[in-house]
Amino acid sequence: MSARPTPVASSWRPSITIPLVLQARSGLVVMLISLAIAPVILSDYELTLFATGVSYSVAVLGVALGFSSVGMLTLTQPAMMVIGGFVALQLIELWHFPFLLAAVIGTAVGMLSAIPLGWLTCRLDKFSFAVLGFAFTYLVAMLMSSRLLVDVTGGELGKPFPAATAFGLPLQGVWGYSLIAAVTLVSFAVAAVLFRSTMGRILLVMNQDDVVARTAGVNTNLHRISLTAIVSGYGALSGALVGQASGFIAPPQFDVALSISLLAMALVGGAGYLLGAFVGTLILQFVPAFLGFEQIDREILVGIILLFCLVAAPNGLLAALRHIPMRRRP
Amino acid sequence: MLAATVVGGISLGFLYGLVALTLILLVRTTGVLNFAAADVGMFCAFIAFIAITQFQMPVVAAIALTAVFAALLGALTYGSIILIRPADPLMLSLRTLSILIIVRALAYKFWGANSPYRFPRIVPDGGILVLGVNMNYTQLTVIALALVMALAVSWLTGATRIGLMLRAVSSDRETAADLGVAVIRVDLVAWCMATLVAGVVGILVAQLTFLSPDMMSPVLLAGFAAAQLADMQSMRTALIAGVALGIIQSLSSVYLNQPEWSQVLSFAVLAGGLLLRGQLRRRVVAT
Repeated sequence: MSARPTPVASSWRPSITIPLVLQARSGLVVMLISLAIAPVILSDYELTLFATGVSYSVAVLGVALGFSSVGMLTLTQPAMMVIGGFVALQLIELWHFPFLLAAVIGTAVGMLSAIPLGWLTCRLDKFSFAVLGFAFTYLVAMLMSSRLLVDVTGGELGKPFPAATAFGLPLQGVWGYSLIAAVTLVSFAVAAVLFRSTMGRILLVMNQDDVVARTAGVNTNLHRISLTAIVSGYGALSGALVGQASGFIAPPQFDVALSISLLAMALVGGAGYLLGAFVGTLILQFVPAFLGFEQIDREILVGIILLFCLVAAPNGLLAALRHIPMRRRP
Repeated sequence: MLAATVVGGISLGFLYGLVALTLILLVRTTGVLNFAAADVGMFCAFIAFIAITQFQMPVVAAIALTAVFAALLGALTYGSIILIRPADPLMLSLRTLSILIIVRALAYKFWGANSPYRFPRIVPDGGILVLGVNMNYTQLTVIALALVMALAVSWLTGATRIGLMLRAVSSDRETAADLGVAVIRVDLVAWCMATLVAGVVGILVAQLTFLSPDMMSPVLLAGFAAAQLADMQSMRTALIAGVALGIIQSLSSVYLNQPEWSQVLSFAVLAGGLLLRGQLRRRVVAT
């Protein structure tokens, strides 16, 4: 994500613009229109696929936030998704919590469990943290499928995820989709607001020069930990949404391969754009499923598209679309 | 029991060390962290497997064919991710993620349905008593081959003309190019060498365990860990770190008696090692 100087520097804030925010408003409008049109043009089955894709885009948004703000290579999202998903499921199953409250608590648990990881980001370089994140996801996926937690997670087979209810009636079909779409839209809007805030600007300064940020009195460690918690919160929320969208949740869904796919989705869409996470997820997750590609063929397609994007459009498809060369005037 | 477990850990650890060695080789020459380092080895192992089982080739011929295939795959990877359009090391490293996804998905597509497979025995079953420890021939072969590979890479990089060029490119890429070093050729040699070593590791892992598309995930992870513990610089330290990780994993899986706790311990060792290395690096910078 490239930072450009603003024409007029504000009084005390760092004088840089945030591309993520520049496209935020139009991005949210495009998302709202896409989410509203989907139930009209898609069949029930296709809508379920779309809802699952939309749910994944929340986790991808977290990856994009980490990458675009401080260059963090987040490979821990599947671990957070499985934590958020199963915490929400437990709350719904055991204490009959409403879905939204269970999802919020699942998100909070995901954020809290990410604090030690955030502490590690302060002490490790980018690649070391990526390796550790990879190991963490591997560990959590293995623990969740193991005998130790089989009663909670259902082991390899997983568990059904009950549909959310309103006034005692299950929200299914378009209503279930609407709930997921609304939560997703709100989470994207929160990301836009968050990165327009002072914290967002500080993170960008940290990305450019950590020493300058510290010299200016910024507690960079605290901001890194906060960012890791926020990114993981998006992952945990996504886990609950995926469970709700597909009506099922199983630990093998959230393995290390998913961490690479989520990163691929963020990069293909454009990590520096709010809409990038949404676009990347639709291209790599929803469209191949919609076209009836088998899982393995989908993965091959993901690899080819990722390679193509990283070579031809290294800042993502949205960045490439923004810079289409204009026709030369005669 | 203890000695046998340690020997098992050493043979596994050497494989981790070799993966770390390929990672360091590429980071030092091209600046790229190759996420596909281990999985290209898995793909090569499948090629050897097909050559032996379907085409009935002798083992030696199959391995020679696989070596040629590995070198070509290395050249193809280099061409498709680096040469096609240069970029900064982070972006180039991310491009290797796509190679990882493609290679693994292709392996699942072609051979995933009936996996895992038992790789044909390259060495006979049975073993010998070494210093009172019963070592099977497979473990001995793995240790011997790993040592030979490590020494060969060390000799190539330390005592040959191409090694001198590799070190020059590693030290200062632009100056080396200005002085007439064919940087692209050196890169190509490094990629071919790294993929060749990965291919051998793939075959050895298949010998020790089973052949399947996901067999390299733990090896990749441990290889990354060993390379990181060696600060992506010292191949010797990476080999030692790999062996240490192998021994810890082997001991913990036997004595903790639960694979889950063994993995937790491995993660704790990795996190602790990385933190310690970071601490040491900061101290060096401070002094």
